[in-house]
Amino acid sequence: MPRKRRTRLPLAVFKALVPKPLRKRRARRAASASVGPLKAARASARSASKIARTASSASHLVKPSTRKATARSASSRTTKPRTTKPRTTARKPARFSARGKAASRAGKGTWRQARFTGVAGSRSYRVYVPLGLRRTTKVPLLLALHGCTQNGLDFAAGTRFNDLADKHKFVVVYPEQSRRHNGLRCWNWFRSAHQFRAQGEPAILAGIVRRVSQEAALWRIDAERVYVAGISAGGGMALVLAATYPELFAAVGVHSAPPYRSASGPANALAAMQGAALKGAGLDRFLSDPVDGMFKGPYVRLRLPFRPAEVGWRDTLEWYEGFPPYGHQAAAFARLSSCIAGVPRRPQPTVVTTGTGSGKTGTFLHPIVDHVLRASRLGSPAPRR
Amino acid sequence: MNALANDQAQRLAGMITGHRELGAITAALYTGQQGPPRTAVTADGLITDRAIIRDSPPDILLTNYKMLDQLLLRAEDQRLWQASATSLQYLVLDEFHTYDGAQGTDVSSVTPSTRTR
Repeated sequence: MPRKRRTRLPLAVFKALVPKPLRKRRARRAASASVGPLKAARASARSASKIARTASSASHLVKPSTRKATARSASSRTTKPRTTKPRTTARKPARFSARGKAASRAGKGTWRQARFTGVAGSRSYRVYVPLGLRRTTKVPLLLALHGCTQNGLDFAAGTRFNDLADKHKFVVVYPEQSRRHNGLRCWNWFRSAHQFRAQGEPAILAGIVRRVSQEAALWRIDAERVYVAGISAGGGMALVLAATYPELFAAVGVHSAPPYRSASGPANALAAMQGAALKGAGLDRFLSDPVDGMFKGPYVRLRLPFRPAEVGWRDTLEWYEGFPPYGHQAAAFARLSSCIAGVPRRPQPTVVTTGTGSGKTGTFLHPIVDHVLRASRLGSPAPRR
Repeated sequence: MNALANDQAQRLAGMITGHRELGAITAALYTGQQGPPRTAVTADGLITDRAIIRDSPPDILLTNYKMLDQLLLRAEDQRLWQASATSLQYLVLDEFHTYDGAQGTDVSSVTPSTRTR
């Protein structure tokens, strides 16, 4: 979805999406037998952590001290924070005290919580307002979609989006999936009921973006700089949003997520995550579908286009059958024809150098057949000089 | 050498038999390949009967440069050139970029003799 105006935000968002905490959390989950994540969730977490490991080994994005901060166990609450960063716990609402410590290290601003209810359904969401945001300044909005089993706070801590929001001054909206709508709190990117405009979760999430954008008493959102980012199931939903509400988002950031509509229900969701869709019709559709495909407009084309012939090419041949010719074919006709607009003439020596699939044979076959027809009709061979 | 000629022969045969108005066009394939001689253009292929090619020269002749050289040299093929002496209009060299080295030299000597014939 290329737009004219770009900020450094998408890159920052992408960098922040490399999540070390995900790896930690997975290890913790494996240790506790009480929580048994689905194979699917485990598979996607595995691929995500693989990438995370590669990326973080070469970067300084996630400091060890802050990684500790995401720990959710009761013991970590009593543990003294290792970081020396000043905290502004006073700014936070009291109800977040349980996770407040983790959240505080993922930003110095304030949180707001709300619930959106539209015709397509209802979801709660949290808004992170960066430190020192001026209500009169137009700022970007980032819609951040968590992965399975996460909530908004987990995702904020894992990505450190809020630190970036403090630094670059943008509002982060963290919608939250409920257990009622998905047992593992995964966004339902893989269900066809949540893959189209004005239906299901994309409609709800778009509604949240629209509402937050219009809350002028709280902040001023720049409609040209609204972004969506997500990991895993959240990444899948981010792609759904990019495909279904392209006018709403200037860019999309996705980590470890399958392509748009690579699955249509729980039955084939796992196959999509394992890449089955990438080998078959799913990728074809993703790449080629003019409406739902990834490539839109003149920016990315997989097949090299030949320019079509310009008006007037038909005057060079009396007989022609078949597809309208390309420009280079028409140029060859004009040189090779033995009769232009009813006037006989000697064909010109011509070299055709276009590539495979360009219809080279047609460039000489049509003028020859046209000439043969005319020569037989006139009964006398064309003069040869 | 003949793969290209055979491929284009198929295409031409399809074109001629697929359009009624092209039905009168005669086209022949003259290569070193042996097979049952065909005396008329059908959907299966072009004329390959050498006697017919000599006696009633086709409008379009597909061949390769080796066979063209033979056609130019052999006495019994001279009728072909006599009949088309004033009407030969097009000489098409497909895959022209492959004609280099000794092969290119062959072709470059065959081409002018075709023109002067």
